[in-house]
Amino acid sequence: MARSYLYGLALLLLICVLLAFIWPVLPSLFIELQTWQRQLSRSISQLLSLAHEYPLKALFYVSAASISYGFLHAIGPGHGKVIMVSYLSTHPTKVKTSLILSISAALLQALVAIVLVSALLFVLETSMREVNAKASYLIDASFVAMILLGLHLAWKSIRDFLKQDTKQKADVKAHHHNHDREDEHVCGCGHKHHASPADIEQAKNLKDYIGIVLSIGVRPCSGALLVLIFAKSLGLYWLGMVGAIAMGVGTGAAISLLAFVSIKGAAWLRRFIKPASQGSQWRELLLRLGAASFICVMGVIMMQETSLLFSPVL
Amino acid sequence: MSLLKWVLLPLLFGSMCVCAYAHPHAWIDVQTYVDGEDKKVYGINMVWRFDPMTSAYLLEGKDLAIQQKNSSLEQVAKGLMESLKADAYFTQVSWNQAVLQNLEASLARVTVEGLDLVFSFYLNFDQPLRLDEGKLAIQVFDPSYFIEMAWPSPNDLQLSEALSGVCERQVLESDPSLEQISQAWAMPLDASPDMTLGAVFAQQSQINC
Repeated sequence: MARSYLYGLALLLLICVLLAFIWPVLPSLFIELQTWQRQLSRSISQLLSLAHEYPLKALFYVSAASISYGFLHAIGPGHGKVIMVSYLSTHPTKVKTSLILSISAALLQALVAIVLVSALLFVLETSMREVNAKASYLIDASFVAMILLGLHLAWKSIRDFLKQDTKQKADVKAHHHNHDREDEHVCGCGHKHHASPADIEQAKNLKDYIGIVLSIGVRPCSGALLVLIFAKSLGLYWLGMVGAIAMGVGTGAAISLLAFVSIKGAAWLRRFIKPASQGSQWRELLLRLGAASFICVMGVIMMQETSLLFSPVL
Repeated sequence: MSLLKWVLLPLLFGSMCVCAYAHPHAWIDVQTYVDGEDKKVYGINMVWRFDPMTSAYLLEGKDLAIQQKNSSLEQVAKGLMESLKADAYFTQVSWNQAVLQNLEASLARVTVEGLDLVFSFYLNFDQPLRLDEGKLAIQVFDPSYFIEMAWPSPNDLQLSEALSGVCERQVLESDPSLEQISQAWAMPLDASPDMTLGAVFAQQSQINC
């Protein structure tokens, strides 16, 4: 026990030292990221404009540039990452599941952008200014979804906690009882018992997963909107769609990476906590409530910001 | 070791918040020409080059066929002038550290160069500023930071020929500290959230004679 504390302390020191090194360069790193993004945005525009002459080359380079743009854009943290990190670091999840979540959320973002722009520009034949205004509704919707997800997770963590508590008490009482009935083969019923605990866990969490994918994905990827609008103005909408999906792939890769780090990080931290130590349920409850309220608070904060893509000045 | 979790996770989240705020999706490359002579400055001429995607957005639905092109572009220029007026043309001119109010803009013009929309106008001061009596500083930024505006190189801030002989200009890159970035982020929720953000990331310039 004392040793694990020692390890923890050493780790904490290490993190502090690392942070002390990273802290001063963060602003310039941040500015650097923005410069890259600006350059990539310009390259994508130029590539798109050349697509009439060199369609195949443009297809290849637009995809490559869009994947990088999506990846870079997703490194600068946003609402999707708040949700992913909060959830994954407090709810043990399989790596594979987290990858599916990340990628489907990112692709949904691209898809929402494509549907939104197509519906407004081609079906309703409105202007891009309209797209700008309507996109902001969806962006707000994603923050509402985020708050709902936070509430759902909070409620669930309380419910699980109460259930576990009563179950534990019941187990103590029922223990003796079970031994009496051993010869009656109570357990020989239906195949549900053969489902692995992981499967059951998976099914129980399905609602969480849908909530996560929706609250991340309903927000159209801003880069995708831009590339679609621009491609439309060049009469190359199909290439815009390719770009939008490629951005989704890039974003998905970045979120997956973050998801992987969160899961591994949380699992690693958990090793320091004795699984059945006293009060571990309380701690779990508090952590999950913390993560849930963090998601809520971030949703509220982000809702305060203007969510227009283009400045109203333009 | 829950201590670890209590410390590490908030830190992780905290560092995410720092960057989670708005970041620009539109860029303007600015060229500024300071007009004057004899250590007197009459006004400044601006040339703004919009990025291709924003240019496409601004030109959407405009008829750019030869016959209509001029009047269409005039319309865009007029629209930009009108909406920029409320934001003081994204230009902050400080004379001895006091910000000049009510700058008047004229000669608005829009052209299209390749994929870029180029917008130019002239900002007029009420009276000429006498550079031997004070210090002139110019900043160009969108306060909401929707748009990032910058002089790509120090040479993009030019003094008129008559001024450049006797005066000097200096462009300083923005150097926001992390505190400033997080301060900008941590503004009260009821204040309109990001109206000081642009200033944090804006370049500084000084003109001395």
